[in-house]
Amino acid sequence: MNIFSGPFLAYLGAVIAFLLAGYGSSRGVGLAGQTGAGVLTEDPSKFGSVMLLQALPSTQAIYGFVIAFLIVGKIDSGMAVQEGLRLLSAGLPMGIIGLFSAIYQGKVSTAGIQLISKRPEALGSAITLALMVEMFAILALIVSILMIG
Amino acid sequence: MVKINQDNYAYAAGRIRAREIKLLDKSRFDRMLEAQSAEEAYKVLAEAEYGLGTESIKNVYAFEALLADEMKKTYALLSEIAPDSQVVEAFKRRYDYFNVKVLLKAELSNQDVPPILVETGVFSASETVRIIRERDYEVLSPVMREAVLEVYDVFSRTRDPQAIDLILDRASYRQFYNDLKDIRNSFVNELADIIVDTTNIKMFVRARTLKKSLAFIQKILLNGGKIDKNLYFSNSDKPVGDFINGLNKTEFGAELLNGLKMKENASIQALEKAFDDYIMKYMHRAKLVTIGIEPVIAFLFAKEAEIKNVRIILTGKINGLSSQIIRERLRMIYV
Repeated sequence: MNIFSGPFLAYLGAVIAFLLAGYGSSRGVGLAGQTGAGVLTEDPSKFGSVMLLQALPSTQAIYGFVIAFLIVGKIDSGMAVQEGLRLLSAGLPMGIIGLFSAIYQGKVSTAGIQLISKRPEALGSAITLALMVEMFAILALIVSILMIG
Repeated sequence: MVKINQDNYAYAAGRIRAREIKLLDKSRFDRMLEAQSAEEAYKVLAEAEYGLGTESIKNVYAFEALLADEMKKTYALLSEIAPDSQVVEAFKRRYDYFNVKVLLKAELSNQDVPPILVETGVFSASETVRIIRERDYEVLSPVMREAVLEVYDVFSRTRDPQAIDLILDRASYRQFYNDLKDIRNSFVNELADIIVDTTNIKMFVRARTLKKSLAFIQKILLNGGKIDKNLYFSNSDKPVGDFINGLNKTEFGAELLNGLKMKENASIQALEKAFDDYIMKYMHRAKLVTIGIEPVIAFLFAKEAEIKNVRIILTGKINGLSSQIIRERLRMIYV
């Protein structure tokens, strides 16, 4: 049996979308969490703001999950190789952009946590800055959805 | 080689950023300066949670004990949060050299050890006393071991107490330079060069003021640094002003001096202030680094500058200097 069958390629697309985006989110949230723990050691009263900022890079994993879900829903056992390749490439934007945007968003969140450790009133600005990165993950999500069709 | 994974410093960076708000800022220093008495200036430190909360050092005349406590507290924090212990140890080791110097001087001159040993070294004061008394040099770093043996050797031949200073200070700087260069991080590596250069310039100017020979200058200058050693050698029989002019012509030298002009009666104090300020400006780069070793190192230097300023203010206040004169001597601060 040829392993490069249509369904296999499509599953690969789902794997890439979730694996990379999920890895990026883990890195981003992990980094922000460590800095958050540092800030909370010094000032436990900032837990609310720190948690909010730490959670921002987790959305990429959710988007990756959505794309993987949609791709898996399209798979049927008799699909052609071309169809499988199409779904594989549909997973790439979300996977790759999700990976990088989550790491960078994690870094912005980390900087934001450091910002609110000095100026608690700047929480709004810190969130806005981190959300700027979110836009690229959303665009990737839309592109992937359009490609799945 | 100490490999640095910057991401490992995420927790440390968070701790440091939250601590930075407690550093004495300009308004607190202004309050200390404008205080009517030394006691009043001293109260600002209590508000800033200085020291370890020891009751006995409430008296302003015991402020050195408070500053020593504050330094101890800072090193305890850094040792706790830095993932690579070698990073903090590179800085702490300087205090071991100080302790060893005090102990060797006392031993070789058959005097009692003065009560000035510090607790901020890699070894505690009592441990250092034991090492020197029992000749247990195995635990020391190779550079330090060599220096201690050299001190005994040279002193037994020359009976020159100055040799103790010379040998141990040199070894201390060499160790500090090697330790910093050993850490794989460009910020720390460049810092090592800056420290060597500023130290060399200060030592050179001091040696020139004392009319020391070229041979002496060649012996004391430290290896490393960005400044060409020939600049020192070619100026070793000329007035200090010529050397400073030559230094001003190099790009790095001009940055270091920052417009400082020097006459024949060179003021080491002005030079020291210019260099301290240059290093602090260098540390300001760490403000742009979110996660990494830089904020940790910068915090240490911020604290050192702060403590130096506190000492300048309190000494000035105790001796009744005007706040204008004290202000001129203050170092640039981090926050």
